[in-house]
Amino acid sequence: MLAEATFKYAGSVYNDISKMGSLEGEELAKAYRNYVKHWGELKGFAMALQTGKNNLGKTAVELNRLIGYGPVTLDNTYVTGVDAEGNFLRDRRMSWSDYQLNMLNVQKVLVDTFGIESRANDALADLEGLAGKLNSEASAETD
Amino acid sequence: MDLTQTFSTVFSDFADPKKRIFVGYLALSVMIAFLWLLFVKRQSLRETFARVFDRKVFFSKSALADYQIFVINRAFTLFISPLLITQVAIATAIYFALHKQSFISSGVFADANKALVVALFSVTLFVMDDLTKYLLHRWMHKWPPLWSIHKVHHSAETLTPITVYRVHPFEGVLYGLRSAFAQGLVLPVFIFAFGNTVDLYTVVGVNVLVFVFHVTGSNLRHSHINISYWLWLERVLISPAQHQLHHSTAERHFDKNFGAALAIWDWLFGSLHLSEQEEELTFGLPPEEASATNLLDIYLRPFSDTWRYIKRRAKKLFRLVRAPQKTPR
Repeated sequence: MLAEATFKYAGSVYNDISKMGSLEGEELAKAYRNYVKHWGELKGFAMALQTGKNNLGKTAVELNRLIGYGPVTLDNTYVTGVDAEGNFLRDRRMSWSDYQLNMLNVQKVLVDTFGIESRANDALADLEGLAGKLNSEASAETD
Repeated sequence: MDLTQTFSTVFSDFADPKKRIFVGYLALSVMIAFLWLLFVKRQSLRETFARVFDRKVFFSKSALADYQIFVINRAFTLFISPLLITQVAIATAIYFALHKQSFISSGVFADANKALVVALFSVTLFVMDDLTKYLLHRWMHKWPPLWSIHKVHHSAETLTPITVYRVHPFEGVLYGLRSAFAQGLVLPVFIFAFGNTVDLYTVVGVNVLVFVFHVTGSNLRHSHINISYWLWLERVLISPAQHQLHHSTAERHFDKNFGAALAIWDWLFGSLHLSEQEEELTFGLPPEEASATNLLDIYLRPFSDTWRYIKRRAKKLFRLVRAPQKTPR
């Protein structure tokens, strides 16, 4: 259940990033708010997964690394830590594509660990759906 | 599995519009053959009938071997195909890799005109498939270990639509991998660039261009009806006559016309041979190269041929390594 929700929000964040790529001004601000909201949900569910009775071990480390302490912000910086005075440090940058790749990997890790059946916002759904349409089973039509 | 189930699994391709030997395409091919012989070659109806349904072709020893290989290979496909890498695996890997590139981002053209994207995708897939078929086919004629496998197909002495299934199982595997790579490459690139606007134009579940290929007599490539196109068209599309020429035993026809649907690759890479007029071609290979009818030889000779090739190459290598002092200064 929690894994499915995490999966769904990872997909939402992926889609949000794609949408933001072509927007500006007020529309961008609105899309950015959605993105951050979805990130919050993603982080929440990911943390909830780790506070259950099962020790996720390596998966937990992986998820935390991929999702990060905070989302990638509009100037591509993201939170990497806290300084001595309690201010958030944002001294590293990550491209949107890389963060989208992280979202893809989050979904992959979740599927590998939990074997999620119902996948909402599966970022690979288009790929797999279209691949199914193509006729590629071992065909004898060589000539 | 009971008998009816086994029967329907083995012969399922005849009922599948995605396959070349779908009964509908076969019927259309017969019709095209009839029209060609009646109206272009101006033969009588009786002559046409006798020529199209020539018993010497369909019941030759070589053709009977074709039918047996058709059935036997089904068993191989059932076992081997689940083990092959799928185009989804390749596509996913490439899709991930595309995200790692910092100079491109996903979904950049996601708002493009849908009809245009779908048309472009369908065409690109068809062209990539055809190009990779040409390249693999050409390689199968050039590199001896692959030729030892591909010989099975060329050992056919009579050509019927079932001859397309007369291949060594390893060739089937190679073509399956080719397809996985070709499609596994085009798919993620398009989805990365165009997002979910990507789709395929299909008719009866198959790419519309492949459908056109089948409906215009793809089965006639492996037949004794030498339908040729206008010469300018034969530089673009492979006619049945051109493919039959590829199977011909005449030396001037060797290593020509490797193309599947498009002749463009042969034209570009110098292996094009336009069809010749009124030529009664012979097909097959000399008996010392391959057997037309012995099934054990057909399935096992690639192993002995490749082993001999490896031994020859190894001997050459040892000679090179062992005797540099003997070369005169």
